[in-house]
Amino acid sequence: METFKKVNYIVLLCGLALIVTGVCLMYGPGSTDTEFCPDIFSTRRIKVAPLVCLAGYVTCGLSIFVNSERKDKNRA
Amino acid sequence: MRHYKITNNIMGWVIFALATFTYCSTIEPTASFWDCPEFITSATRLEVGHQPGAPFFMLVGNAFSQLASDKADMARMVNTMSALLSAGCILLLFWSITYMTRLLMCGRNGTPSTRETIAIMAAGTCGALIYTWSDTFWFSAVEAEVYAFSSFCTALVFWLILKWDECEDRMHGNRYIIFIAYIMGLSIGVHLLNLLCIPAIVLVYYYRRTSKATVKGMMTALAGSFMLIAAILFGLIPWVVRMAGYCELLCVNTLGMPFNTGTYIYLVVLTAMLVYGLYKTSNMNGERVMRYFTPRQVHTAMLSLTFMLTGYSSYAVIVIRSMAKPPMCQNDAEDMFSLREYLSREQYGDKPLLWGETYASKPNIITGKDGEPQYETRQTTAAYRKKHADKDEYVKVNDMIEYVYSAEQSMLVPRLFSSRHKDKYEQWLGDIHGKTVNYDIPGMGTRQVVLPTQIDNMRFFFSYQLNFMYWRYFMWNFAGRQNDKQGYGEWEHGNWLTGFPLIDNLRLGNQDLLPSELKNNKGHNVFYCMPLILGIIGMAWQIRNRNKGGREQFWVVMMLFFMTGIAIVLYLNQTPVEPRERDYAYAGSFYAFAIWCGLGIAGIYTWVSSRLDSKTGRRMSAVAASVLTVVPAIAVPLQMVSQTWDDHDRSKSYVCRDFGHNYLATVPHDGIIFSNGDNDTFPLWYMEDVEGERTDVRVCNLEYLQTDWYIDQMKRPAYEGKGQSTPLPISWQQEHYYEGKNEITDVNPTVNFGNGTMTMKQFVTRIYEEDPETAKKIWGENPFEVHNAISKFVFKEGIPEEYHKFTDQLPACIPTDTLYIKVDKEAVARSGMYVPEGMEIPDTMEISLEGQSIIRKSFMAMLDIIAECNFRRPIYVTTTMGSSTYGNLYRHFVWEGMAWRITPFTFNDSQYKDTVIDSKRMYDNLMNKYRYGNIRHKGIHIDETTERMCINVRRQFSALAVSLLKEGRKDDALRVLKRCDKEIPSYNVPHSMVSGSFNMALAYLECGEREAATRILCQLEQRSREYIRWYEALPSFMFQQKADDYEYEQRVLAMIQNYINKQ
Repeated sequence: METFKKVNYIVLLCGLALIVTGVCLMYGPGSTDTEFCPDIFSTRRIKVAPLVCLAGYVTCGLSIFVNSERKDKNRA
Repeated sequence: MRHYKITNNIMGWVIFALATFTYCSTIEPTASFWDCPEFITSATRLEVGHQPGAPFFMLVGNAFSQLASDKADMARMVNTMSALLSAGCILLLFWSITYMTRLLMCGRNGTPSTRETIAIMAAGTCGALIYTWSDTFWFSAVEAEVYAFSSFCTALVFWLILKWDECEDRMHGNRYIIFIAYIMGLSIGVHLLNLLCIPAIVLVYYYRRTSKATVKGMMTALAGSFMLIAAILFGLIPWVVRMAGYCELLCVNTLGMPFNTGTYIYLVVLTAMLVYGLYKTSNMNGERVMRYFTPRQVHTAMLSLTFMLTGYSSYAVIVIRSMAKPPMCQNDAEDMFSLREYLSREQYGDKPLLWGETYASKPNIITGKDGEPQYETRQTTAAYRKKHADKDEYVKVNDMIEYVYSAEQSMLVPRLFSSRHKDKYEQWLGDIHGKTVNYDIPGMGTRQVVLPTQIDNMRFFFSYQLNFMYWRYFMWNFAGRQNDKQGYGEWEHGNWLTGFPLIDNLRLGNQDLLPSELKNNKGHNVFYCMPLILGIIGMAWQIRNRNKGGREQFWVVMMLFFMTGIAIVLYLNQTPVEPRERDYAYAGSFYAFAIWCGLGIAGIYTWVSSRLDSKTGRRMSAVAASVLTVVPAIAVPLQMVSQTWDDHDRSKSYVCRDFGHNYLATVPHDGIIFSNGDNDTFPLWYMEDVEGERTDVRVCNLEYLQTDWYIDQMKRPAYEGKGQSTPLPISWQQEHYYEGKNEITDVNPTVNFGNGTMTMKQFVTRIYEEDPETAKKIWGENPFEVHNAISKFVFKEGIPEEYHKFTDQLPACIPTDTLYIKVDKEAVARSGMYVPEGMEIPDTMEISLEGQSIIRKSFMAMLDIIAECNFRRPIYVTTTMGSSTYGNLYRHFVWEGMAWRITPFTFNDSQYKDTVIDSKRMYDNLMNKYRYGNIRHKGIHIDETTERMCINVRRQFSALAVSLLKEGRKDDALRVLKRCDKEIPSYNVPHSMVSGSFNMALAYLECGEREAATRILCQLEQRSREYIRWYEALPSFMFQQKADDYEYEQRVLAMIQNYINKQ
């Protein structure tokens, strides 16, 4: 029996995809030497993107425990 | 067993609720001092804070901040995050303690009886609550710093390995290991402290997996764990980024591809390698790898590596946001090279650990290429920067170098290594043994150098680094604390106490004779060593429990205690003195000791119950058991919280935010304000970035102005629309301020001109006298004008070709001790700045560099900014800046409140002694615009940082009152005095000479308010008397250190008594 089954890898991949999506959402034009770019504080980049990233990290964490059958029910 | 599990769960959540209540009701409602405003800004606005960054903290903090009701509430939400994570840490501590206690009392498969359950619950409660209400942990739990988060990660991985230990199913157990690796990876984006848990974790693994634990086995496991830490800390973390850097160099410089191509290719290759590794190791049927590890272990390791890298990937946030260039963008970590520097904390320098120089050692001198003697250096790493041109390219900027020291001048394990701290080292040590060593200088013979010996070295390590900077903090948490003043070794500030006068007075003098402002300090907390004793009992009980694995458990907890405590002391190699107490770094070791405190309760129970059982011959009833364990388990923490609550409750304090507001309120529209340290800069950044106030003011931190990325940042505009902050008019080209270039510049050096020596100023002046035409062709109209001096003499720009041979021989320096700015008089008049009586706007501003033989890049930049602005934009300096930073510029300061305005007027010393005040503006600021952070709230705790700010403010009030009286404005002066007494009341901030209270009293007298004046004078007299009494009671070796202070207080007392008698 493997530690990581297909299900786990799929959830992990979803998590990674979410992280990459979040980072991409965070990307955009930046301020230059001559001009300030107000878009760097847009809702998409500082409110939506980090939440997506965080969701990705949580998903990756969950992928470790998904579908875990335990032989013993001894839990504290 | 089920009953026990349910009880354990419920009790855990009860403790969690208690901890949540404690922390949430004592959090600071807005930003706190030190790094907190910077962290809040980085979380809420995803701006880039100081090295090495905390990207995962940013993400989680950002999520919390989105729950805020408005901009002003965001800081409180981030503080709440710390509070909840800290409560989570307490929950996990409880469960960790109960698990370990249960193992020791009942064995792995035993079910606890009722009375045993009570004892176990009591143990967990006691340990958890002792830690909840202890000094260091509580301090970090109520503010927006990474330490609360880091403590949670530590608690989590420790609890996880215990869960693994408990788990009988090996397949499921693997998942805990992988999850631990994931948390470790994520915690790289919080704080590296978490890695220190690895030895404890490895030990748990070893003890569980081995059939018979031996000393040799344990040592091997530990050695392996240290190698694992090293592999992560010095291998994985830097090299993942370094490899990306090499890839970039290959793709961009060699193959001519656009920027970042190399990074993308690298990521793809790395991912592919991981996938391949996972695939290859997932085959379960195989032989043991390296004859020791099973295939499954290898596969688990591979999965762990994958997840650790996944966690580490949070640094992508830093790179992406650096590319966006937000207003706070430290170190500009937008490519792989600057990211590597950012991660390695290169800004903070390197400290030798195993072998290296002493503070008195001199680097080797060798004959350089030009035949001149120079210090021998060794290249360490190369720094690259992006070159912005038609073709993308990375250009090597400079090599990082370090000095080379001979073997005679080096020593093993150097703890006295920093030449900058020579005086402080010698002050701490007193007399050093010293040994004389020969020092060869080629061409000049042999000199002698006196180096500290290994005895001096060890004495410093034990007395300062270990005892003063670690054990003192430990005792604060488990025995007691004298007060929350920062300690430097004196007997009256920041020492640990027991609460037993016999012991304390023996160590630190008669504590009753302490001045009342120290005795009444809320930070005075004594626990009578009860938690300490419990901890020691716990250790003893654990060790004696051999048959149930107590010895092994002891080593596990000991490794956690040692790694997060003493190991950090060894690694940090701290120099005296630190700007603040550093106890927050060791919270992990206090966590470990709290485990022992909890075990102590179980130890007491076991010992007493076995006595009673043998005596009475029957089993102790559950009631007796509960009394025996529950009473001390609750009494000890309750006693602690009765002492620690008052100095940890920050719920009423708004000081940091209000002072940020005050700085901004002082500066007119489109102005510039120079700041210096953490506690002025960060509140300013917070108010602008998070609360969006006065974004038109440009904040410029002089510490950072020394770096190239910050100068770049200052040249960029920030924010938009009405609140846009125009860039600083720095005219320099990048090539002149890259890292390593012009870090310091000589001022008016003496140069050898063949037939004699003269200063640069004399030399240049003579040339202008003898051949003005040529001189002006080379260097322009006025060589001593700020812009000209820097550009022509330091950078050597714009000099006609034919004169290069001549100018190349001259040293790059400021060619004078006085610089000039041709003043734009109209701009000065337009600005409406205060023109002092009897003075006219001058034609030129004379900036004296007297007393400064060198100036730093940041100071030179500051002068350039002042010259380029030429009073068209108002320029200010925070009053918290130290005099060593602003040099002689104080001669041009006009005081307007919490900042000085830089003016073209030069005040001579006699004028300056009265401190030139713009009373109209200062009155408006202090009385109308400024806010005072609720300092007047009765019972609020004023910590030392806040107190320093309060002292600063009271001085402003008293100086303003004096100035108003000089102008004959008695009513206004009285209003000012009364307002000061209201906002900075003496019941929270005692009167003192340094806070200007004496001038306040005199001002009151002049206004005819004898009562108020007498009140202040009496308080001052009382204070001096108390300090004199304290100093006189000190033994002679301690008194010597305080002799100056003693003399001062006596003079003060005499002066005050004189005044009182005259009334």
